Amino acid sequence: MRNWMPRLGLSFKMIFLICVNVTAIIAVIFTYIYKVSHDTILNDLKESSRLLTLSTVHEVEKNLVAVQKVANNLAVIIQNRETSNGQLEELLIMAVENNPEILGAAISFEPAGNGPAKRFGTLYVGRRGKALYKTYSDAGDYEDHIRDWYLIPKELKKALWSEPYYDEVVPNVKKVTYSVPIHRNIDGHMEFVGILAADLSLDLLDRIVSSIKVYQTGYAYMISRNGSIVSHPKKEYILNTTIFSLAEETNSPVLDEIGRNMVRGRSSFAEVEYHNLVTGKKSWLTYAPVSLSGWSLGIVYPVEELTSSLNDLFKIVIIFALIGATILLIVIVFISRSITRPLRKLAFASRQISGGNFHAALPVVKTRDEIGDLTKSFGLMQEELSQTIGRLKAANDELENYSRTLEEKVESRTAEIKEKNSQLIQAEKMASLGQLTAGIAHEIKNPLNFINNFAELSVDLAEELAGIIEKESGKLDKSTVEYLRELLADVDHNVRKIGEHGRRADSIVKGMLLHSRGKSGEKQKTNLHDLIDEGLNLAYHGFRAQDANFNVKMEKHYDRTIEPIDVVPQNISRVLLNMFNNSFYSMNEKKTEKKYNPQLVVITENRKDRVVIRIWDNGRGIPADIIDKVFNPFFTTKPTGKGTGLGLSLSYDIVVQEHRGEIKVKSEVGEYAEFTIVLPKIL
Amino acid sequence: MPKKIVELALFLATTCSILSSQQLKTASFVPHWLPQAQFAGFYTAKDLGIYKKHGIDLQILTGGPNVSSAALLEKAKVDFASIWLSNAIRLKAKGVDVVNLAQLINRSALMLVAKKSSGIKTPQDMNGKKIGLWGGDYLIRPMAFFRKYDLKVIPVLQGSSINLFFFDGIDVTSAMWYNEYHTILSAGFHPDELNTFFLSDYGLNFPEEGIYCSGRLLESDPEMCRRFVRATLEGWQYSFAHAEEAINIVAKYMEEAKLPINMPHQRWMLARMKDLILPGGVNDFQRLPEREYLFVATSLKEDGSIKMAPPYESFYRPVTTRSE
Repeated sequence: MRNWMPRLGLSFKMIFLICVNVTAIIAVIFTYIYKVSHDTILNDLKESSRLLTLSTVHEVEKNLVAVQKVANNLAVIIQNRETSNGQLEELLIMAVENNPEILGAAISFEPAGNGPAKRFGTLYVGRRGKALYKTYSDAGDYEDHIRDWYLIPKELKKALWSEPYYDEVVPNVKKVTYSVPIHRNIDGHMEFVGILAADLSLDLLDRIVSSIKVYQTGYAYMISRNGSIVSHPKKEYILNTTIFSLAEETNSPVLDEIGRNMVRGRSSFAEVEYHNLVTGKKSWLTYAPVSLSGWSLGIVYPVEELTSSLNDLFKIVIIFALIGATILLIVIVFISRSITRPLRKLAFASRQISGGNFHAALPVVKTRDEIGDLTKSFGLMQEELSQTIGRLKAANDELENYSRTLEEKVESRTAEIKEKNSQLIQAEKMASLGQLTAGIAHEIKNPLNFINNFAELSVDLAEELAGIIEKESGKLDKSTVEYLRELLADVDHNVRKIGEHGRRADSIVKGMLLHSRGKSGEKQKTNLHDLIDEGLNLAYHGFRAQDANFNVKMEKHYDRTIEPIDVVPQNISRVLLNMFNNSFYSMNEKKTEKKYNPQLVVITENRKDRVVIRIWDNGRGIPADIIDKVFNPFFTTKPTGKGTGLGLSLSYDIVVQEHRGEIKVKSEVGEYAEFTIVLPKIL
Repeated sequence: MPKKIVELALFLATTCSILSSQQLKTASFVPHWLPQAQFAGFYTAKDLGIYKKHGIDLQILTGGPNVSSAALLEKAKVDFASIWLSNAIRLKAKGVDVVNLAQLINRSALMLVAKKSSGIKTPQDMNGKKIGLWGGDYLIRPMAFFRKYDLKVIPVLQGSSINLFFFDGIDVTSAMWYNEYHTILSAGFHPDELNTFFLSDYGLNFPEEGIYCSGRLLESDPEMCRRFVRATLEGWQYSFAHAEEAINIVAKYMEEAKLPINMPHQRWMLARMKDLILPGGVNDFQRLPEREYLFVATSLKEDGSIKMAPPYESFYRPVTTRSE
């Protein structure tokens, strides 16, 4: 699921996480410190801005008060005593002359009043440059009574400052007028008779306000009770626009709200933040009312400049922090490398180990820390692993050996089984041959009996004839007798030969029948060694009878532990006789060779449940190509008439079939032949 | 911007061709008040040479509280003047040879304004209150209004400033929708803090300014009268279509007259003039309906300002048709 994630090294993760966290911590600390410093500056500013604003307001009001005092005094004088035109003129000129802040002064009477209005509407004494001038206007032909400076105090029945306005007489002069309503006791009640007004130059107030400099671009401004701009660094605003128009023009609800609070006479000290109209920069605003005229003074503090020293300090701090962070980064890189480098090497080594190289070089770690421990442990593991793998290898070799031996055993076993199998086949063959032979023998037996019987009878008859001839010899001539004798001798000889060969054939047939009938004789406990000795004597003397020169060196190694065993003694005796006859025959055949010493060795061995008889001779031996056939019936190498070819076949049947033993032959041509007979102890 | 340049080029091209083909006739005009966006059409037409294009070399005199356009026309000191209908009817009734060439405004912009804080919500609430009123023709309808609702008010004659209202010297002030009403807004009042009474909403609608000249001039040079009116209407159309440019032109004339210039105020004024001069949108210049004329004349007669209502036909002599 997270396969998309690139593989990131431990060192990268470490550096990344530490950097992120350190940055976050530094950021939090810095932000906190910055905020605290910022708040401190702001708090200080609140206090200092309050002082500055109030002192400026005081400065402005000082001028207003000066004008107010003059106007109020004049009003009191005019109100309380009848004055002539000249006296009024004198009073106004004096007031303007002696009070430089006063731009001009006027006395204006109600058009329809009972007072001085009979004489004039308005008397104005103004200042044009250094000179003073005076104007009179007629009571009827003058609209002063609907002008603000006249109408408003009249309606409100109190002395007050007008909204600032342009002077009608002197071009470009902006002024503000303080008007005092004059009431006189006429017919017992106080009646409004006119206004005493004194003008104050707006430029004067503007200078006071403009002199306020806050840092580089901060400034002060003043607005009237209608929001009209009275003083501002942007001189074109003065009397041309109101703070609300500016709010409308700049589409600033904040400025609109500021204006509304200012004209309502509220105060605020560095609580409002807005973009000032001169630089457009974010600023804090402080304002307080100029109560005497119902105006409001505002001072603009550019945030940036206020906080610039703080910002400079923080710039330095940030540079230090960056340097620190860089050093930290380098240290972290160094540390993480010192961790990851051995780790990488260990990883490389473990890959090598997994590839079979148990002697892969491990990193050299001198530090006594976890990495050192890990490397040490790794080394131990490597060693252990190497040993274990060695042991495993040895075990494996052994196992391989075992398996190879097993294979060999299986092979030899298989060969043995094969051999057994071929023996079995041989046995089968022999059995079927035996049956065939029995059939033939039985059929031949009857005619053979005739032959034998008639041969014997013929011999008798020949003898009888010979007697007759002898008796009658005289009756016959000599030559005839002689001829008869000769003929009879031939007949006698022939009949005897027929008898001889008939008997021989009979004995063959008898042997064949015995072979095929498989008739088991009586089993009885028999001393095997006695049987061997008997057979050996019989055979040896039989040969010696034929050839007195036949001498054989005989060795007998009998295992005397062999107890009598269950056998059919006459059959086993027959087998042994057969064996010995064959050996003697073979050795006799070989005796023509020089330096030949015939030797026969008989060995018996007692094994667990069986007995082994080995008959060894150094006769001619059996050629390899016929050794498989020696147990076949009628197979013989003897010349015709000397062997029937049934001896070994018969022995085979007796040992294998009758006694469930084994008979094996081993030989080397011209060297030796060895027959081994194995008999089970208990049948 | 390019569009504007093309239009200017067209004006100049046309002007030049007219200049070369015919001689310019000199004429003069005086508005009935100080230079401000209320007369933007006239100043724009002059400044952009529209009058010259129409063969008139126009001089605009500066109006104001001390200069009565009606008086100047009466004294034949000016050829054309903008005058309120009621004022013009009084002139005509007095026997002055004056004719209305075009009626610019049919719907009155005169209104009474009260602060919501004063609790004045209905005309009845004004009973017993101090109401700031202007003199002359401005007085007729408020007085009719007070009569209509049977109110006993304390009228206070006010000047061109409405500071008395701000000082709470009066409870209700007279105001022109396009002028003083915005001055009140510019003094920090929000519209929802004020209750307004448009006199036209109380059956007291007086069509206001129109373009006038002497009957004599109309007789002798009807072509120039027609051209003057056409050029003026063109000037208005241009002003409405190019408000900022028109405001800047007006500001130039205000500066010459040494008047305080408050751009948002002038912008407001021009926008309201558009509402009044072209209530139905582009080209919907007004005619003076006889019914409205007679209502004003009758009111003046009832008021005692005139004895006889001058006939409509002799008073209203439109030199252009509406389709023009």
